[in-house]
Amino acid sequence: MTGSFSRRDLLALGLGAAGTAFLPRNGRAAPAWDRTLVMIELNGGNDGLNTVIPYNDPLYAKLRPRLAIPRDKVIHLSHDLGLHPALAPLMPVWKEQELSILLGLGYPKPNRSHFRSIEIWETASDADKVASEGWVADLLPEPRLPPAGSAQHPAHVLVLGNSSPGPFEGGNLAVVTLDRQGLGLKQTGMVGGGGQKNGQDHTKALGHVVATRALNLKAAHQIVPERLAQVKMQAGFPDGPFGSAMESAARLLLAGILPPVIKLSHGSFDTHANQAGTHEKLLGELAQGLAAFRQALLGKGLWDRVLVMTYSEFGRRAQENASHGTDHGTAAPHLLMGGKVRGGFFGTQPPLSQIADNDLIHTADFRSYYSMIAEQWWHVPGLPGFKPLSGPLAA
Amino acid sequence: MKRLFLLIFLLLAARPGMALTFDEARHLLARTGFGSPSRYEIERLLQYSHDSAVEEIFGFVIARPFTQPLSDLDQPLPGRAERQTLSDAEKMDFRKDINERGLALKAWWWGEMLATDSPFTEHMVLFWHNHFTSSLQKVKWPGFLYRQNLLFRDHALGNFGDLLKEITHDPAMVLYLDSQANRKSQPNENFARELMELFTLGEGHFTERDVKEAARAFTGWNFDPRSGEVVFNARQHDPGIKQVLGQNVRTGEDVVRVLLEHPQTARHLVKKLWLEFVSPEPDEAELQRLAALLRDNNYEIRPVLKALLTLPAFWAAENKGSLIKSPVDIAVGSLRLLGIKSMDGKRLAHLGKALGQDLFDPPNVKGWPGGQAWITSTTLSRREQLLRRLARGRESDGADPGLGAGYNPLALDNPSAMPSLADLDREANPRSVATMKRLMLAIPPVDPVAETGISLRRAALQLFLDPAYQVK
Repeated sequence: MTGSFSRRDLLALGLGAAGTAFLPRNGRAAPAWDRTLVMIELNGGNDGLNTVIPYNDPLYAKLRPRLAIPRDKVIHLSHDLGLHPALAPLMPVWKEQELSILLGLGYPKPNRSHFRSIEIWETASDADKVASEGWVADLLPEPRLPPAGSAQHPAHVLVLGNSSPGPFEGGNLAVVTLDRQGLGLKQTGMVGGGGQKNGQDHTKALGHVVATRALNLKAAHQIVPERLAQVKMQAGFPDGPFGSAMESAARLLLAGILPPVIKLSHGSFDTHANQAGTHEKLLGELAQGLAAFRQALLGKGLWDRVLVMTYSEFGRRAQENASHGTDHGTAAPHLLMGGKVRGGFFGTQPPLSQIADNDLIHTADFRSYYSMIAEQWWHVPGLPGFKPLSGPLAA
Repeated sequence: MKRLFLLIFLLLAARPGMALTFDEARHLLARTGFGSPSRYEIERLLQYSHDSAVEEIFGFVIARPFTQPLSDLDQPLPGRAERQTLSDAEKMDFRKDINERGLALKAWWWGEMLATDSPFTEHMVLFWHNHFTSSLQKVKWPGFLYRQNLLFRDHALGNFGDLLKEITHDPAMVLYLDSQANRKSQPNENFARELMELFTLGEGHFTERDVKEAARAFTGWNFDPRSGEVVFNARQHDPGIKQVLGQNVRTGEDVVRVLLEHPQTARHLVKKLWLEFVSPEPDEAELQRLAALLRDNNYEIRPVLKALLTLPAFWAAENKGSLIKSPVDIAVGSLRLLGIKSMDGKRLAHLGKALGQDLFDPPNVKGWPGGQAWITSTTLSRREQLLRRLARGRESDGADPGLGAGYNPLALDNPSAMPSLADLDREANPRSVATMKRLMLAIPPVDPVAETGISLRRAALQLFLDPAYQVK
C-alpha cells in the first residue's frame, strides 16, 4: 500500500470509489447487499496449458510429448485455443456467453513454492513482499457490508470444507467455516455469551478461541440444518468432496443465505507424476460441479446475483517432466462465470515461443483480476496501480 | 525492607534448583505431552527440580512403541507382476485390504498415544511427522508409513543430521516427493525443493537454480518395488558436478552436507521447536543462541531441547496459555486426563480427522499449519461436542468406565481415594472446583464457573467447555 491513506481510509471518506452501488450517497442508506462471490481455489497449482489448450501451436505437442491432449480431442473454442475434453459440461455455459476465460494470469518474479505463492495470491502482495492482510479483507469495505448474524447474512464469508481462509484474514470480516455439507455449527449451549473478561489479559490464542465461539453462537442461530434440508436440490453434482461442497454452496444460496463471499476448494492439482488421469478427473469434477451449480441457481433466478471465480497458486511448467507429470510453473488461465459475465476469451495467451526456463511468462497480473472484481462486482476501489481487466464484467 | 527484597530475589533466582510447584509441573507436562496431564503424572513430578524434571521426561523417551500394530502391516508390497495376475475381484479385495491396513495404521498410532507412558516420545514423533511429512494418500502402502514412524522413534531425541540423511532414502519419503521419478535424463525437483524449503533452510534462502542442481544430485536413488527398499541405481544417476548454494557437489549426500553446514538450517529448526514448545513469538536473540548450540553439538537434539525447556521464556507467565491445543491434545490429552488409557483406535482416528488432524495424512507437504488455524468455527464446535461427550462418559465404547475407573485423576478432595462414578455426581463445593481449575486449565477460565448447586461432573463440563481449555 502506498501513501498515507489506506483504501479503507479513502472509503471512509467516501472518496475514490469507481462505482457506487453499495456506497451511500449523500448520507442515504446503502442498498441491500445482493450478490455473492464464489471463490474456487484449485489447490496444488492447476496445469493451465492442459486446461485451455493452444492446440494449433506445434510447440505445444513438442513440450508435451506424452501429456499433450490430441488435437482432435480438444474442444475447439477459437482458432488457437480450446478446452480439455473433460471440461465439456461447461459448453452450454460457454454458448450462453456466461463463461469468460482470463488468459495468462500471474505475477512478476514468480515464486514456485506452493505455500509462498498461494500466500502471494491470497494477500495480493508483490513476490518479494510479505503482507499479512488477505485481499478480500483489504478490499471489501466491511463497514458497508450488511452486519453478520442475520438470516440472510450469517457471516460475511462462508468457507466450505478444509479450505484456506487466507484471503479473508487480517481485517474485520466475519468468517465462518462450515463442513462440506454446509453444516457443522451446533448451538454451543451451556455457557452463553461471547466470553466475559476474567481480569487477566487474553493471550492472542485465547482471544482467537473466544472470538470464534462468539461468531459460532451468532451464526448458529441462522444456519440451521432444517433450513438447508428443506431446499429441493436436483441431481448432477459430481461425487466427491468438491461436488458436495458445490452442492452445499447452491443449497445455502437457495435457502436464502447470501453471504458476500463463499469459498471452497478443489484438488489436489499438484500433478508431478502420472498427470493425465488425475487431471482429467479433477477437471471433469470441476466442470460438472460448475454446470450443476449454474442449473440449480438458474431455476431460482439467482444466477445473476452470483459470480464464480477460480484461482490457483501457479500453473505448471510448460515442459512436461520425465514422470509423466509437470512441475511447479507460473502463469495460468482462470475461469469466471455468472449471469452477469460477458463470455469469451480475455487477455493474451502466453506464447510458447517465449518461455523463460521452460516456464510461461504471464501476460496479465492477477491483481488486475482482483481490481476488476472490486471495481466491477463490489463497486469499490481496486488495488492501487492495478487497472481492472476490462471486458468480462460490465463496468 | 531491602533485605526482604534481597531474600525474595535470591529465592526467585534459586528457583531452577528447587522443586517444581504443581502449576509448573503441569505446565512442563502439558507442553511436552498432550496439553492436559493427569493428576497422577503431575504429582509424580513434584519431587524434582526444573532441570531434573526435564531430564526425567527425557529419560522416559523410548524407541520401541508400547503397542504393536497389526502383525502384517509391515509385510512387503506385492510386486507389479504379482498384481497383474490378479482378477478384477482380487484387485478390488487388494484395494480394500490396503484401505483397511491404512486405517489400522492410524488406529495403532492413536492408540499408542493414549497408552504410552512417555507422551513426550509421541510428541517428538509427531513433531518429526509434521516436519518430514509423508501421506498415506500419496504413498498408498501403509507399511512404509509405519517404517517411517519407527524411524522417527529411533531419532526422536537423537541427531537431526542423521535423521535428515536417513529420510532421503526412506521409502515413504521417496514415494511421497517423487524421488521415485528423479532420473538423470529428466530430474524431478519435488524432493529437492521441499528439502530446502521445508526440511532445512526455509523459504527465501535458496534459488531456483539450487533446486534444479540439487535434484540432479539426488538422481538415481529410486524405490525398488521388488525389494520394497530404496536403492541406488547408478544408471539413473547424473554424476556431473552441480552447484548448490555456491558449492560444487556430486551426490545427494554432498547436498545434505552442504545444507547442514549452512547456518540457516539450525535457525530454521530451532524456530520450529520454539513455536512447538514455547510460544508463537520467538525471541530472535535466543533463537541465535539456540541455533549456535545446535550446531556446536553437531545437530544433537537433546541439548538444544533441554536448553529450550529451561529458558525463562518457557516458564514465563505471559506465555502460559499462548499455544492452541492441537486435535491430538484435545482428543488424547482429554482422555488421558480422565484416566482413559484404551479406546477403539479407529474411533480416535476418525475423531482426529474430524478435528483437523488426520495422522499419516497431513494436508500437504508443509504439514499442519497449527496455531490459530486449528480453531475454525467448525473445528471449535466439534471440539466442544467431543468434550461434552467425554465429560458425560460417552466416548468409551458405550460403557462409562472413564470418570469412575481406577485412580481418578479428578479425585478432588482426597487424591488417594478412588471415587466411583457416583462420586462425580456428588455436589461440587468451592474447594473441589478450585482443584479442578488448577488441574484442567493453564490459565483462569473465561466464563464464570458455578461452584455450588451443581454436580462435580457438571463443574468438569463447564471447564471443558471454557475457551481456556483450548489453550496450553
